[in-house]
Amino acid sequence: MTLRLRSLLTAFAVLAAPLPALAAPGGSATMTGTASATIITPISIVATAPLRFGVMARPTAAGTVTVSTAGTVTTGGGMVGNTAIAQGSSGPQAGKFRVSGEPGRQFFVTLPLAATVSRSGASMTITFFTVGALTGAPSGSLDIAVGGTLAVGAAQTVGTYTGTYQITASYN
Amino acid sequence: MKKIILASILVLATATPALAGSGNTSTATGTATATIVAPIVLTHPAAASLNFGRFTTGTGGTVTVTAAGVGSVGSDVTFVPGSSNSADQFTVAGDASRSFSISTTGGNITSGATNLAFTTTASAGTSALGTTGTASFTVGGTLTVTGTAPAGSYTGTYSATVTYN
Repeated sequence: MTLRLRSLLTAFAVLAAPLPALAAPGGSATMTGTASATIITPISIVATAPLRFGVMARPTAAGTVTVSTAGTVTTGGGMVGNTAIAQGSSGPQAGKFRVSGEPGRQFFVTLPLAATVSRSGASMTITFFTVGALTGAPSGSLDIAVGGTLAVGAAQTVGTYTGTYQITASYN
Repeated sequence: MKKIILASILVLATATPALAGSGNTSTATGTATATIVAPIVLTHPAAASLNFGRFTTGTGGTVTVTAAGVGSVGSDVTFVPGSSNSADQFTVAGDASRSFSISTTGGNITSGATNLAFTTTASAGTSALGTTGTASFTVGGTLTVTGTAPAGSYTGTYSATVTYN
């Protein structure tokens, strides 16, 4: 709605601007104005690693599995102890994104309120997304890590769940 | 009338690029995954037990039953004719091919006011569920028999625990 309104104003300005020039009365005067513009690199965010909650045993009571932005796992409720099993090649890790843009410019990140991972006939919800900056990114970019909390049901269907979530980076 | 139509077209034309092409914001789609595996479940068949057999104590000694169910005696303990031994049995269900650890405790068998202590040994410390998600193991043990233990039928319990590795 805001964008639409701004566009409207622009359109009217274009139509209105030529009128004073045409209507200027009595002789003419010319002055030199200055104009400047700075074009900055547009901001870009790219997913570089998936958020993985790892392998966990089905609980007898509902519980939660939280992966921090450092990739550390904590459990709650019926999931306590259920992640202490061999993880194979799909162990827990924070999601990673690379934000690139104008060096030195501030930006903010918008996290989703919730996301869903699912498999055939079953799903789980991720909430409480967290974000943290990682070090070591080259100039003009910043790697960020994303964590979250997975809610696992008491009779959660066995299987591998996948889903997506959207992260937005915006210049301040 | 003509102006209004033009303005409307302009609005629509400028709005679309503004939404799609702003350099001030960017959105990426990340992937999230989690894997739930079947919980490990340990079952004890009702008919199975660790059976140290029938024996005389003499001055005392030990009775050992291997995890394969073979009994032997130590010191002055002697099996009586017709005595038989058995190892205990457990079945495990869970995630196919997943490795797990087995631990067992000792315990006491009791008859009246007399307790006799025993230790246990599982057939394996670590095992893996088969491709169908099942496994089994057996438990043997060693009973320490005092020379003063009165005749009787002694029973007791111990605990077995399986844990995913």
